[in-house]
Amino acid sequence: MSDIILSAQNVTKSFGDVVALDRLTLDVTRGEFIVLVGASGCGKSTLLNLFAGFDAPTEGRVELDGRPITGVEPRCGMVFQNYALFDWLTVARNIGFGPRMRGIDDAGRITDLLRLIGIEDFADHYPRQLSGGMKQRVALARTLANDPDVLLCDEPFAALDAMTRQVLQGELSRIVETAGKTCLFITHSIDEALLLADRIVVLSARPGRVKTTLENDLPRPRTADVQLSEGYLDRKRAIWESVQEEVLASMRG
Amino acid sequence: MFRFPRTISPRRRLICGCLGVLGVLVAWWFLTLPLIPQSSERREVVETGEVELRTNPVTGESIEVKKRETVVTVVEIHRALVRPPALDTPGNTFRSAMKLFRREPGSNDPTLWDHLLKSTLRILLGFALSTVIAVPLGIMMGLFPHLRAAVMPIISFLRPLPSIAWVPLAMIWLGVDEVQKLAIIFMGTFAAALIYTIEATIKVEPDLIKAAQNLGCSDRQLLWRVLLPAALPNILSGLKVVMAIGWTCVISAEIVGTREGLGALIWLSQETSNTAAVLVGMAGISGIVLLLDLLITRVERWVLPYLHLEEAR
Repeated sequence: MSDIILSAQNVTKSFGDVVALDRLTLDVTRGEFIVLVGASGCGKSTLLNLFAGFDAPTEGRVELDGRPITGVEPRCGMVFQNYALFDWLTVARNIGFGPRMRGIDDAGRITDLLRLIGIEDFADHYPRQLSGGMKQRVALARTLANDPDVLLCDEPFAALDAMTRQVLQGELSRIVETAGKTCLFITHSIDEALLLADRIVVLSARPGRVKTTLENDLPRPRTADVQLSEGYLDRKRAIWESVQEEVLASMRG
Repeated sequence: MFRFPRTISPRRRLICGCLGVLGVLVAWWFLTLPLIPQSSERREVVETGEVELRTNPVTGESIEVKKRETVVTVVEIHRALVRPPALDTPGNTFRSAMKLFRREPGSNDPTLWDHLLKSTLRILLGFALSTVIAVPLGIMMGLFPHLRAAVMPIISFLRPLPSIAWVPLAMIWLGVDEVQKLAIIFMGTFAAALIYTIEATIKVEPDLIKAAQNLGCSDRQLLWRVLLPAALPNILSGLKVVMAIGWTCVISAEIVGTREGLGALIWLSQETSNTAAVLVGMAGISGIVLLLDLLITRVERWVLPYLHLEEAR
C-alpha cells in the first residue's frame, strides 16, 4: 500500500462560470495532519467536499488509497463548523448514529467515545443543552464512531470563543495522534494552523491553487513556550506574508 | 421617553388583559342601558260613561249609544342607544346563551353541544384529509425542485381563494351534504398546509443532510431518520396555523344544508335576528380554536421534548 492516502490530481472545479479550484494537486500522507489556509472563497471547502464525495471534480481526479472517490465516502469523516448535530437525538444517540445506520448498536463503544471527549455526564442531554465547545466535541465523537481513516475538518472551531478553541485544539491533536488518523483541516487562523499542522498548505485566492507549502516540524506538544519561540514566530511571519497577498488579491476581486 | 423593548410582569399583563375585557363589557352594558329620554304619545279611546240617544237613519229607531272620547297621554320613556334585536343587555344575552346549552322540552333543535361537536368533527376530518395529502406531497416538493416548479403555479392560484369562494362550486358538484362541507374545509386548508410543509423541508440545514450521508445513511434512512425529524418542528407549527384556518372555513362550510354546527347556528340565528345565538356561535369558534391550540402545543411537547428543555447545569 502506498503511503499516500488522499490525493487530488490536477483538480479543477467550476460552478457555472465561477472556477473554484484550478488544476490543484495535493497529496496527503497517511497519518499526516494537513492544515489548509487561504482567503475566503478560495475553494477550501470545495476541496473538502470533493474528498468527502459530496461533489465531483469538473476535471482531474480525487483518490482515496489510489481509488477514485465516486460517491459519498464514509471513510472520510467530516466535522462541520456549525456542528450539524441532530437536535432530536441525545448526545449518546448522536454519537451512535453512524454505527446504528449500519445496524450496529455498540453501547460500550459510545461510552468509550464519551470518555475520550470528556462528556460522560452529558450522555442523555440534547445538543441544545450544550455549549458550543461541547457540541463540537460530540460532533467529533460522532465522526470518530464511524472509525474513518481521514478526518475532514471544515473550520470546526471558528464559532468558538478563544479559550474553548485552545482547549479543543489540544484535544484534537491528542485524539488524532493517538488514533493514528489522517487529518485535513481548514482554518482562517494562522495560529491554529501552526498549533495543529504537520504541514501547512496556503491556497491562492480564487481560483484556488496550492500557493505555498510549509513543513511544520515544531516540537509537540506545542505549549505556550513553543508558541513564543523564534521558530514559531518566523513561520507565522512567512505564512502571514503569503496569505496576505492572497487576501489582498481576493479583495481586489 | 421610549425604551425598547419594554416588558411588564406577568401579573401586570394579567391585570391589563382583564381590564381590556372588562372595558368591552362595560361599553356593551352602557350601550344597552336605557338612558335616552324620549317622550311618546299614547292615544286611548275611553268611554265617558254618558249615554247619547241617536236615531238610526234607515229604520228611524232611536238607539242608546255610549259616549266615547280619545284621550292623549304623553309618556316619558327611556331608550338605550342600541336596542334588541340589535343587541340586548349583557345579562339578557348571557341568559339567552345559557338556554342554548339545554334542549327545550318538546323541541328537537340541536343544543350548543351538538353544534360544537358537529363542527369539531367536520373540521378535524377535513383537516386530517388535507394534512394526510399535503404533508407527504410538501416534503416531496421540498426535496425535488422540479416537482415544486410543476405544482407551485397551481398552488399559487389556489392559495388566495377564501374558503367561501369554494361554496358555489362545491354545491354544484357535490350537493349540500357532508361531502360538500368536507370539500370546502379541505380546499380552505390544503394550500396553506402544503406551503408550510414545503418551507419546513427547504429550511432543513443542508449540513445535517451532508453529515448524515457522511455517516453512511442510505436515502431511505435519510428521509425517515434525518429529514423528517429535522423538518417536524416547523411542520407542526405550520399545522397549528392550518388548524385555525380550518375553523375559519366553518362559516362557509355550514352556510347551507345543515342545522347543526356553529356555522349553521350563526347563519340560522341571523335569519331570526337572534343576536345572542350569533354571538355564542362566534365565541364558540374562537374558544375551540384556543382550546385545540393548547392541545396541539401539549402534543408537540410530548412528540418533540428536546425543544422544551432547560439549559444544562
